Amino acid sequence: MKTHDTDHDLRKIEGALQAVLTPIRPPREMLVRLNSRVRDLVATEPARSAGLAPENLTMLSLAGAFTLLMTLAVGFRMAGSIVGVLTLLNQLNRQMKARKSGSLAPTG
Amino acid sequence: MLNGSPNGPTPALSDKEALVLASKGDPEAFGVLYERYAARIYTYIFYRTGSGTDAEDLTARVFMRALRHIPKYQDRGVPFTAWLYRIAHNLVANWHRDGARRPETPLDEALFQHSTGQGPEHALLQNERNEALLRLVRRLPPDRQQLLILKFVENYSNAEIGRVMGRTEGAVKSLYHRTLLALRDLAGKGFF
Repeated sequence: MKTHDTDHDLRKIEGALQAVLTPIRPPREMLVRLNSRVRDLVATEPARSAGLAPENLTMLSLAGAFTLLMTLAVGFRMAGSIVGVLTLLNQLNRQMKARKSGSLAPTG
Repeated sequence: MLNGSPNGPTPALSDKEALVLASKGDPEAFGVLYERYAARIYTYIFYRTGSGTDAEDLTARVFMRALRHIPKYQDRGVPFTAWLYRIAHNLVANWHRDGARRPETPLDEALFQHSTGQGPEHALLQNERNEALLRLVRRLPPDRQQLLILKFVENYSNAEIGRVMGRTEGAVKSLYHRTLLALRDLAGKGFF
C-alpha cells in the first residue's frame, strides 16, 4: 500500500514537472542582443587567441618594459665591473712602469 | 545569424562537419552551431538561474568559452550538446558560488502563459504554483536540477542524460527516482 502511495505521489510530481519545465522561446530582442555579443566575440577571438587582444597587448608591453629594465640594470652592473677591473689593471700597469723607470721607490 | 552568408552551404552542415570546420577557426561554422543551440542553452540556464538577464549573460559566456576551447574539442562519441551543457553547468555553478546570497528573482511571467481557459484568477494561482515548484527545483543539488531540465525540457532519455552528466543510464535512473522523492519531501504535504 505504501509503495502504491509513493508511486502515485511520484507520478503527480512528474506531471507537475512536465507542466512547468517546458522549452522557452527566448525573447527576440534578447536573441538579437545575444547574437551581436557573440558575433563580436567571434570577430575578436582570432586576435585574442593569438595573444594580441588589447588587454594582452598592454600586459605584453608591461612585461617587455620590465624585461628591458632588468636587462639594462644587469648590463650597467656588468659594464661597471668591467670598467673597474680595467681601471685597476691600468693602475697596476702604470705602477709597474714607474717602478721600472725608478721614479717610484719600492715600498716596504 | 552569426554567419554572414545565409545563402551559403554552412546551414546544412551536420554538427560533426560544423565542429571540424569550427575547430579550424571557421567562424561561419561556429555560427551554425551557435544558431542551433543558443536557445536551448539559454533555456537551460534560465531554469537554473531564474533570471532572464543572467541567462543572457551566461549564454554568451558559454559560447565564448566554447569558441576558445573548440580547437581542443575531441569527439569521443559524446554529442556536442553534451559538451555545451557541461560548460553551461560549470558556469552556472560559478554564478551560484559567486552570489551565494543573491536574492531569488521571480521568473518572468511570460514563462507561464500556458492559458488554461479557466479565467485570470486560476491562471494567477497556477503561475504562483509553478513558480513555487521551480523554486523547489532550484533548491535541489545542481546535478539533480540538470537531470530534471534535460529530462523535461530537452526530452532526453536516461542514456542521453548519462552522456551529458558522465554517468551510466542506471545511475541516472536511480538519481531521478531519488530526486522525485527529495522534491516530495521538500514540498511537504498537499503541494502536489
